[in-house]
Amino acid sequence: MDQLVIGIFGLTGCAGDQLTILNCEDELLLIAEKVTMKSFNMASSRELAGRVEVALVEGSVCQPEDLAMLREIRERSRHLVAFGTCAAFGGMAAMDQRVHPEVLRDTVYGPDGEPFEAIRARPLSSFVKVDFVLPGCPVEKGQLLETLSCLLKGSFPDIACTPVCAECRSRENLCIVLERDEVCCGALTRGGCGARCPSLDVSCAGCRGPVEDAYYAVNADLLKGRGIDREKIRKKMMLFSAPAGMGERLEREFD
Amino acid sequence: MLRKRIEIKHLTRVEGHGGITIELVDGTVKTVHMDILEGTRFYEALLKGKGFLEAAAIVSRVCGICSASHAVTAQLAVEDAFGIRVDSRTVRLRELLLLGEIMESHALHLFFLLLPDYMGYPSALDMARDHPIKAKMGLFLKQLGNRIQEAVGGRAIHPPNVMVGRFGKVPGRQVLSDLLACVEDGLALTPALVDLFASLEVPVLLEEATQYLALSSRDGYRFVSREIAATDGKVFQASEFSRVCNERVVAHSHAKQSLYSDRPFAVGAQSRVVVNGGELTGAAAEALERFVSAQGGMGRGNPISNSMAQAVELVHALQAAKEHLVDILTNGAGDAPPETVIEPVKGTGIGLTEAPRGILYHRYDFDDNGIITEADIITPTAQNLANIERDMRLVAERFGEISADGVVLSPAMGCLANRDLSFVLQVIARAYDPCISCSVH
Ligand code: SF4
Ligand code: SF4
Repeated sequence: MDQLVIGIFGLTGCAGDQLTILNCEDELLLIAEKVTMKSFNMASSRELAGRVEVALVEGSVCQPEDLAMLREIRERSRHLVAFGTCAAFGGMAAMDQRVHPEVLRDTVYGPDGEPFEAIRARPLSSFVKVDFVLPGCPVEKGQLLETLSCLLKGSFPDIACTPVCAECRSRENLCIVLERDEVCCGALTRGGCGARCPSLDVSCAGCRGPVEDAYYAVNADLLKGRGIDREKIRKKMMLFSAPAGMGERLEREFD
Repeated sequence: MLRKRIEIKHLTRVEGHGGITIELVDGTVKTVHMDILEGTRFYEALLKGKGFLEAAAIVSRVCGICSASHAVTAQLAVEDAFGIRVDSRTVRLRELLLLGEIMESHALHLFFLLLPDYMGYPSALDMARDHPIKAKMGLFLKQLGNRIQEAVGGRAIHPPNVMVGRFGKVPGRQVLSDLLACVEDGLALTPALVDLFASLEVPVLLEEATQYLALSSRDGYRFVSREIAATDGKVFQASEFSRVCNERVVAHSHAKQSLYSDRPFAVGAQSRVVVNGGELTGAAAEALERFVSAQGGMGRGNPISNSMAQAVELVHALQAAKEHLVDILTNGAGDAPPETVIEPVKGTGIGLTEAPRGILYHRYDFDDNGIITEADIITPTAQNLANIERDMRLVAERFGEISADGVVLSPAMGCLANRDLSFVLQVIARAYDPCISCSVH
């Protein structure tokens, strides 16, 4: 049988999503039998150029080199997957969209640094066509395996896009907003993590990016009703997907 | 005049994007650069203006491999600033989490990134086809580290359960006893693990006086401490660290570099074993002795020994994880976490841990509301970069033989004689197990 050829690429990110592939310890050898992984630099020193059926691209675009690499990957791939939240929504590096990247750079490197070009961090879809989004920071192992097995059959999986709140309720957790008057991004964030954080009594930080049809107005009323500071809400909502404007949309509902 | 420039555009089997450029003129090395090409995310700038509750979630994303260290270090810094004391169970659980990370990270490096070099395969997956038992041992130990991180941290990568002063949810009795059973299985593998790595023919790339730095622990071999010891006998406090390591911007790399008294220094498993090896007990102490007699002392400046130190630490991590689990199971698991009211205090906090690759330092300044006004993160790989460059320079100068075709290693290099210099430069870089995402944050 012909092997499925997948390319695994990292732009600017933490490599957590690539590491999630290696964290499938039980399945890894089986995957290696069915899938040829190209350009998986983290795991292999074998250079393989050429076309791939599917490119999993991790990280966001933070420097001109990332953009050049992304464009080349797009050319070489039949399907391109935004692999993880940085790739899909911008992630951490993109949280301060209102601050000029040169200001960020100078804060870290000071006047002694060799000035290099800093560009505002953006998700892949700002530059190229993205065929499929696998969200998460990092991606959930189960969804990764599901995606791989669908790809072997030539399709993409149907990944649920219901909010974390729904999963949280079905796990019968106490609601953190209602119990402790804390900000929780669960109502606006896409599930698929099984409400991982609220189940640990930790509020959702929004690491899987915005859910498509969220009830912003209802959520704004709820948070406002608990007397939570607006600035706090905005700062929490912008951590993982600032370019998608989750915080701003919520803020608009406040007025 | 023979002039040669070797450029390795993309180091493989390391985490992140980095390259090496070296320029030789006759017998001397003109320049050697570890080029860190990874994009910067400017974490220190992003942290400004964010609240103390968000710090750990933000900084854990610096690195997928050592996210637990970043999360714990962040909370230690917050607690230091606000004068928060945590209970002994939280201390133990944090250590357990860090041990899980050590297991995952060291097993990944030893079995996936390093062993293929020794066994002559381009990747661990290729190696696994011919050596399934070795591959499975590596996978088991790696998975065990992840199980611990999942159970304690709430996720194998970017653990959300690590909170200021406590854990969101303390793992229950059943979870902990299941972990204990897995750790016992891991311990049963240690003789085979030590045999495997003691049997490798480890090249002596260098024997060069090296300054090693590690957090010092006088009450066992620990990964959290507020004291730093150097092999020149000096001991420093947490507040002195940024002065001691003197981090600065360099032109050729997005990662900063550090110097100790104007000289390169090393951190990581090898440094820890050199500084704290006397605290090792049981099978870990025996493993260390075994490696030393088979491959020479850890402190004699051969960077390749770092891998053997990682193997020693794998054994230690299993032993220590067992101790913590037994203690937590005996003295109370799964009860409600202590409620803490956190009062922000204006001032500075420092967190220090030993991440898998060495000393990790976080410093935050807070205003009265617990908002971060300044942040400084010094990662292990950034500290090691100057030493990596030094090692590459020395090896190239002593063993590189330039010809019109390229640079190969002289017969004095033993099992690596006649190999391409560029191969050995990668071997040196990989021995440090560099984590490039961490070094550029
Ligand atoms: S999405 Fe998260 S896990 Fe993936 S690269 Fe970004 S920070 Fe890392
Ligand atoms: S609960 Fe929220 S922050 Fe936690 S894993 Fe799920 S989406 Fe991410």
